[in-house]
Amino acid sequence: MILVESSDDSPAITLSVSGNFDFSVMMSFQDAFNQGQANFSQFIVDLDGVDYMDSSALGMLLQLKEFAGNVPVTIKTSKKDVLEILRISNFAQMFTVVS
Amino acid sequence: MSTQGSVESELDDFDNKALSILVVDDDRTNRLVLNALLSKEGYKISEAADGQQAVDSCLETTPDLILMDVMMPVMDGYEATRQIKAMEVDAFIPIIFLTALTDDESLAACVTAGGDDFLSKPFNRIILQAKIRAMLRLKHSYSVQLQQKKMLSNHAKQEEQEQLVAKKLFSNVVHTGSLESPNIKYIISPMSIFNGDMLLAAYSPSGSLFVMLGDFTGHGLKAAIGALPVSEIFYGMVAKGYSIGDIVFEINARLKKILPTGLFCAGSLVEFDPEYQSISIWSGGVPDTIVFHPEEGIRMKIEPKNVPLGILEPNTFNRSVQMYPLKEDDRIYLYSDGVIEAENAAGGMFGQSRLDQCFDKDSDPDFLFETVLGSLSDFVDGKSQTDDTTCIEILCNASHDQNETEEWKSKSRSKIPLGWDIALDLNADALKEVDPLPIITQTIMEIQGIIEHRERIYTVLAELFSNALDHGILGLDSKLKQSAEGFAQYYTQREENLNNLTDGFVKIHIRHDAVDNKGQLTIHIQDSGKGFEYQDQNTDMSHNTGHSGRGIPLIKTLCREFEYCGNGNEVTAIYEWEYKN
Repeated sequence: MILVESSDDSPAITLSVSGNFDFSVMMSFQDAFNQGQANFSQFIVDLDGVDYMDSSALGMLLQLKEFAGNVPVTIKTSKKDVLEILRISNFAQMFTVVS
Repeated sequence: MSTQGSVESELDDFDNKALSILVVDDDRTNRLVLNALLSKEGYKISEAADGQQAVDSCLETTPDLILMDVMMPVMDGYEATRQIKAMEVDAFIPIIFLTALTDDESLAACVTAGGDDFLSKPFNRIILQAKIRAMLRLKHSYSVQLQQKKMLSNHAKQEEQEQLVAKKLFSNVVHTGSLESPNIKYIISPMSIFNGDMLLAAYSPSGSLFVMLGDFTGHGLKAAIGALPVSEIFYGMVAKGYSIGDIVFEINARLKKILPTGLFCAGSLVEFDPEYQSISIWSGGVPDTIVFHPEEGIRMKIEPKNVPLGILEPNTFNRSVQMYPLKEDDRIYLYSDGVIEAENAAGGMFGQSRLDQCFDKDSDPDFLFETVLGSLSDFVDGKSQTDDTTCIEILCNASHDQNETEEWKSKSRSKIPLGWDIALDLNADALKEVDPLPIITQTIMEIQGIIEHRERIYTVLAELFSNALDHGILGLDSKLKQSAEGFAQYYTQREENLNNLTDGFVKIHIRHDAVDNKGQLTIHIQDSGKGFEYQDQNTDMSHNTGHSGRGIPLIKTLCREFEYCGNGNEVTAIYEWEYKN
């Protein structure tokens, strides 16, 4: 499930993913970041609630990064399995990863 | 395929097409009444005077619906119904019993015989018309369903056919190469190409074994499409003696061009060089590579250092490889994440630690591969998981089939060390436009034909040149590259500084001499930068590792001599190779 949070006093838009982060949520993830048209200065993807994630999730993160252009994208997670996938794919070279 | 609405509207057409009803009754008057009544409704009526006639009529043309009397001479309605229902193959012929019988048992017998509905005589016209209409609607939705079922099963058959043809086509290009070598064991699903997994192996002209394990995101054709160019590039470039760095650079550039954002290929490319007993590896997005030795167990785990293939633009792509010396009897294991993520019926994952436990140093190394597969299949226990499992073992002993190498050697240039030199001066404008490394490496190969030294010479040149340009001229701090975040920042900064460069030069001078039975390649590089205090650098290089790649310590192990001179803006390295007759 994808939850989008943004507030007037915060310039960031947060996409919280819970459950399975895989092909099944691709449409809703794309819809979620496509809403981010306004003047956000940061995208935060919160993956703390993710139970399982596969390579299509990495693909979605890349799509978000392309959409964001110069706006920084931060991935937030303390989940061990998720961090392991990010380590193997070296996504820290392209995203800011906060654990 | 069709919604409720469209079924309704199709049914209207259906009504107009003069649906046929067979009236079965031994009483002529009854038949006349029904005929008159239903003809007025637009139905096409045919008649039968007993059960046998009804069966015969159905054999000739199947009606859309049958109104059946029960008690008739020759053959009664029950038997006729049984026979008619038994003969239908595809079509559904609704049968409504019209009977003078009213007891529950007789009416139930109508349904038992295969009737779809019944109505007691004398019947109400409106009820009869409604029942006929309801039955025809049921028949129609049945036929739509049947049609859809046929389409689906045809589609499935066609898809299966196409997959088989595609598999044949793909296997011509994405062939297994040298996977059948005696020092290799592997497992990969025969339909793996559609699961996005690929495993390629080939010997280079110099006798090195190149292996690539690739794992595309996604399944089906979109995963298979990327496999074609990867395989072509891999086999083409390995045969020509290109190095791993060259090959991954090319593969990445091609995939970046053809794959949409979000699709990529996790992979690792390994070169096992039996002559130098070493491996070079580039990997990104695949689990740690395991190096096992019978006396030590897991001796080394090589972490993936890169972003998967097809994501980064060529100018930010990191083509540097990691090199490690090997011991006799070392075994290398590459595997896809499908191994780690294999699930059992309870939803648990096989996991890295279960895999690591297979590599017990007391186990027979000759059956290690089988042990891993056994442990995996015990874990998943019946749950079919082998489709996503790709794994390869390479036994790294010096002895292997040298045939391909010999064949190449006979065709190659004379390797006798010659005396020659080349110089390349690059000014600021040239530095922006030209990557001199492939040109120089290729020139050295053209003259000396020492293709087995290609990767090493390239590595030395690349390190020295990037030191001169990045640190000497562009003033970048190599410490930035030590963290993963800084790595990206480093390349952004580099591009910016390079674009703004107006002044400066890098002079590259390569000299080759024959000394005794050896070839000696002297690389001298000078930059226009202000240099640095190299006295410290020449003694202590231990910090210069991590994300900045192989760094100077590696250069020192590859070269016979290495030293900074001038203000630290000049460097000389001597690479030596032995000439074997």
